[in-house]
Amino acid sequence: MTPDPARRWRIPPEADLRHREWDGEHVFFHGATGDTHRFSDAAARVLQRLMAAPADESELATLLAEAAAVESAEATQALGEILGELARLEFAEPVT
Amino acid sequence: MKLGDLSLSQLRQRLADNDLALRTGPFVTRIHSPMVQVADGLLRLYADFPLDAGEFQDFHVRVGPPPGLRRWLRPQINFWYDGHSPFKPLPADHAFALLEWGLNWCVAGHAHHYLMLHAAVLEKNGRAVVLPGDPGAGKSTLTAALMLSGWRLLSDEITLVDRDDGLLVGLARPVSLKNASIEVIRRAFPDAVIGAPAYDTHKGTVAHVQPSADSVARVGEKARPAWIVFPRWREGSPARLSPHSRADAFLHTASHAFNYSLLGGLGFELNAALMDACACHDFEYSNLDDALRVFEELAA
Repeated sequence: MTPDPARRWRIPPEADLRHREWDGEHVFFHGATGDTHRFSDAAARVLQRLMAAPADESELATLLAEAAAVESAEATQALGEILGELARLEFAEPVT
Repeated sequence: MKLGDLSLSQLRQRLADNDLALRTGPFVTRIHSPMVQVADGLLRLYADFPLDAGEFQDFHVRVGPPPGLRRWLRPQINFWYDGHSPFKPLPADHAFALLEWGLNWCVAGHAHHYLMLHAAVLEKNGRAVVLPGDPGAGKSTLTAALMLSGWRLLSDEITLVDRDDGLLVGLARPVSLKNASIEVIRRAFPDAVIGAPAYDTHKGTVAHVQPSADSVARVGEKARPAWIVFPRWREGSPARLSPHSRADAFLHTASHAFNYSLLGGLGFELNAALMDACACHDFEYSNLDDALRVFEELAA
């Protein structure tokens, strides 16, 4: 997915996500599909942010860059991979 | 009235007349069977269980010969639940094992007012250990040994999690042993009451261990979960606990549960609460005495 700093993301309204964290490991449940997944700490931060409210890629990349203490470019690349995977699993989607 | 209050002939008559309702924890099962193997197994392994005189039973089951000529050519038996047969016919001398599998099938397929995990569960000093385990991991052997060493058995196969309070609910039915573990338990606990083996089943040789009297007497007491332990028997391994990730334990128990997906968000919340309440460990062992010592220390 081509990065677009202005593109906004959200949790699908029907997803009814639930989340638990144990010792830095994150498990999420998708209420509509019934799927349960363990996500990386980075993906979990993105999901938790989106569970609070939709956010654009610029904001999400900043969040990751600060959390992991990495350059913005590296965070942007990682974010693209994370959002692609979350979209594939229907845990997140672009706001259209 | 307890099942053991009946003589074998009385029990056989009541089974043949479809007049026996057995309570195992929260469930009452009406059992109909003309098979002497069923009567023998019940009398040996369920003697301490109460009979139920109520009018409602959760499950109506029958173990007996299938209809038709085949019964004369090659004696077989089958299991019916409300007139429906979920299994293929088996040799007649597998009758009691088939009843046990059928009772598990009844609970696992219908008791959706619980979260049902594929795991054994025992309790000591008010705290329960849940033992998930892949086939061959030594779960049932360890379960039988713990029960015969004073732990209270809640179940060797299905962990029932109460949806209202997250506590664990007991069944206290016999522990199913397979193949070499039968002799392991027989040698380690010569006084254990073990039912007649069923040979050449799809699981190999199967025999069931009578639940302890304490387990049956206290089956109505729910237990508070404290540990999830993944046992693994490995030749030569010292008995040792090591930390197991709770996220991994969550995913393992969820993927091996009987109804996690069916319960949806409630299943997630109940399993998550179980992880919140428990310390999770891997447990390798090769020697039963050493294994029991580790569990004694755990429960101390």
